[in-house]
Amino acid sequence: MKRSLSWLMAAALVLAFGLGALAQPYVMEAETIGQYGGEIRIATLGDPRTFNPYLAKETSSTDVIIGRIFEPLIGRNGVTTAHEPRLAKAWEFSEDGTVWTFYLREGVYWHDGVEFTADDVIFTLDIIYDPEIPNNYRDGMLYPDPIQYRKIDRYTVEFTFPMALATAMDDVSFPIIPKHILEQPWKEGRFNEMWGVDTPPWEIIGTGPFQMVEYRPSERIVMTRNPNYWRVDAEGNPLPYITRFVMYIAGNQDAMRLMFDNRETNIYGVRGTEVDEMQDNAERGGYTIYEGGPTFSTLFVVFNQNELFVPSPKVEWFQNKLFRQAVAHAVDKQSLIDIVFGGRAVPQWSPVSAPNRQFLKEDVKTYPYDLEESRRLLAEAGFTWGPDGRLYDWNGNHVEFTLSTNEGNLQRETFMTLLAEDLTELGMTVHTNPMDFNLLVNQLTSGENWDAIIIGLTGGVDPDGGSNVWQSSGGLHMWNIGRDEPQTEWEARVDEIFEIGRTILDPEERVKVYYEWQDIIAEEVPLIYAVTPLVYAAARNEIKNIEYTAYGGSLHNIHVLWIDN
Amino acid sequence: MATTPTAPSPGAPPVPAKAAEEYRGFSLTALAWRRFRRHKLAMYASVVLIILYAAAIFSPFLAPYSETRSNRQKYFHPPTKIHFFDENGRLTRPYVYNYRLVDVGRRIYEPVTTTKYPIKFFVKGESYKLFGLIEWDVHLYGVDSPAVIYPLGADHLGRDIVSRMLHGSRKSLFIVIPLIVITVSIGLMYGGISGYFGGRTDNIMMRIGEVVMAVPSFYLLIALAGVMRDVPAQQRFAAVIAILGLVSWAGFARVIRGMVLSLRQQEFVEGALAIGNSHLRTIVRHILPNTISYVVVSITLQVPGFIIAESSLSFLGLGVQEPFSSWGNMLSNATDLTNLTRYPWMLAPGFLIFITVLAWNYVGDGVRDALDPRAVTSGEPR
Repeated sequence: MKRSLSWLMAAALVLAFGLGALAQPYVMEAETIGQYGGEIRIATLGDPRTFNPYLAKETSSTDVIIGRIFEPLIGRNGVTTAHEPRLAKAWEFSEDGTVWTFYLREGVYWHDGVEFTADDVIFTLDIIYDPEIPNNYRDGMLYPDPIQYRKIDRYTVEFTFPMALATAMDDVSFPIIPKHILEQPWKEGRFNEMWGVDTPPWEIIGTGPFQMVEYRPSERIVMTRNPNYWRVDAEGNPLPYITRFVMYIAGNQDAMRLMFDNRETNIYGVRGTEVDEMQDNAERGGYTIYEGGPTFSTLFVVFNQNELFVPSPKVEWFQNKLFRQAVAHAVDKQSLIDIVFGGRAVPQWSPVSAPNRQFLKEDVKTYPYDLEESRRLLAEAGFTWGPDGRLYDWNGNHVEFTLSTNEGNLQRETFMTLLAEDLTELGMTVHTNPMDFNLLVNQLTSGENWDAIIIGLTGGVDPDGGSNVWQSSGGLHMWNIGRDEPQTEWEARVDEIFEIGRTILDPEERVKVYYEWQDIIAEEVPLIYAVTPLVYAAARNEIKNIEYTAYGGSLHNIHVLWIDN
Repeated sequence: MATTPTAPSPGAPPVPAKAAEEYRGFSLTALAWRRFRRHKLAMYASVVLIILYAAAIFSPFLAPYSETRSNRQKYFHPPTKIHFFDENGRLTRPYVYNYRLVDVGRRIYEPVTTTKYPIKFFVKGESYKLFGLIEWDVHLYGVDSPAVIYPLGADHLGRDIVSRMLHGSRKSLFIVIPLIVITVSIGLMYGGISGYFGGRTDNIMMRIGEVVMAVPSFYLLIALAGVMRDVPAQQRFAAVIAILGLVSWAGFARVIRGMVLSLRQQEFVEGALAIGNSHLRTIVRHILPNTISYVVVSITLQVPGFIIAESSLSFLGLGVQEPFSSWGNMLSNATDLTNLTRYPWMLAPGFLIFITVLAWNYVGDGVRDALDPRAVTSGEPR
């Protein structure tokens, strides 16, 4: 027996249209039926470095192309974060969870009019598994063996995973690229030169809602509506509604703000400190401010617990759970929230980001700001204070270490300054060291030359996306990097949890497994979390159907956004 | 020294007969001082500079708070209003109110008018080391806790702008000393040797000097600071300053070389050599002292450039690092558009840089007129 995960809507459409190369549009629900015309203009920080989705490594490139020009088989809903069909209209998997069959949407056309078929999916996987192409997708799709993939017919593909994988749907959300254009260059070994930013923009061919028509470096990217797009609104009108989508390239956040104030752009991501002030001017400026809730990104301090790199006696302090808990009690989250975010942030306690309702365990152990409690924990761990008020360990060594972060980041520098002050208050000597971001990351990932670092990570919906951080062998297992074996009992248990969690296909059972991991991390505090900012966006009142969320942003439903004149 | 030339120094100007009458009986220094005093702007500028440098030296005493002392309840605190009149309009001892944050999002502070906090002088506060030696804890002024006195407001961590400017001035104003030492010592020796030996030596040395002059120093510094990412911030700053000195001497050396070229034709040089002085000794002891007036003028005119260079480097994050202050890195906190419009007091260090540079330029102008009257640039002929 096969269990079907296909969506009712998709199933209904299959019935309605039968089989064959009929157009199989996908109905997108929205609050209102829109009018055609108009444009959405946003500002972005940096230039894209490439238009080739398998060479793009930075968000300045992927933000331009992914979802707008190129689309995956399966995506996540921008509001609910649930999986929903994109180029695959339905899918199913075998009883043991290893064989997945994807039924492709029929009647989807590339921007140049060629039909999208199973051959394109197979070709995309060939590219991903080509060792000559340095793409970001391959590592996540080796288990450690690659997926076995084959074409069944023109509109059906089958993937065989080496094991049952709960994350399979996330793993197959890679963007599909056209075989008929890229196969020849790939065979000639020129794939890595294809679709750089010097390519004429109209030659970048995808299936997405927009086609690129113009790119002027450091100025703007212009896209026009794809008239043959596969999504329709509730009345069957083809989407998207807007005629043009423009991304201006602004040098910095201030320039982005000015462009919005001057009405050059009509959507703007508002910083927490600007919210109240912009709210005061909303009526005059003709815009509305939307709140998207807390973001997925995190901010934390991590201590290096690796005795291969950190000398004694420092490493013994850092390996001491009570020491780390004492530091956790010294994080003044409220001041950080008020000073840096103008009150627009929430404290974070669990390794799962606050907006991730599905996996978040609300009642993990917390560490409110309380220096007295820190002192009690330090005393319990065997630390003592000298007559000069300085903190000494059980062997009489003064507690002294370096706290680093990357320079030029106000959140992190403020966090560093506040934490250093409080730790000094506890009798420690803390040397603060703002440094270059790339160098900081090099130190963090090599384990050398650092004691404590303040940094952040971006988060996703599925906890397994963080396995490179939480599993002992992971490349970002910061506090004990470069170890093949877990160094402590709790790390061994976390390794197990991730191994088990990955193979459980029942969502509810899976969530429970990850609850235990959150409790362990909150107890052991290898990463001491600070705060999660709330995100806001401002959009002109004439833009309708906005559904702003931290996960999807303001443009996840760009297809149904429309301009009311 | 017996070999000191008795002939009038070639650096001294041939004074017109009438003026010579007026100046008879004064030493060269006294003459220069008289001329300098007539330059009104230069005099005012000197007073300003003396005040600024004195304030820098005594900064720990003058500043009510330490450089790094933050206050989590007072971030972006507006300038504290100092009241001289009480609520009935009567003149009273100056006092301030404590301020309370009433709107976290908009960062609006309001004074709490229930308690007055009189401003006190010579109050005990955080201890510090005056001149880096004497341990003391008395500050010129202050108010009792929990009130604070922030005459120019506070930055994003609730640190007093006035205190940070005072502490920062020690770096921003005195950074020029090592720079001047490096530039002048290299420039004098290089220019001296080049001009003295002349000919081929001169030709080669001057071409090398021109290459150094052609180096775009600021971009070089930015590049170097970028390369030296893994060097600790303090050492990196020291290195940047040293390198700034090492690329700034060439223009100075060229002028010295020109002066030495003409000086070595003079008889006292022949005399110095005739009694057995080595070339190097002749250059250092007999020729270079004659360039002193140019050196002094050149130094005063170079100082503002160096002050700006330090501020720019710190502004770009390549100089003095947080939590320590310099005028440049304080200004970098004001680049944010929101901060600039809502907390304009954060621009105060920029105003100080402006005043300092202007004052140094006027002083430089005055010094040049005083020591080198042939180069009359402004005002009535003297």
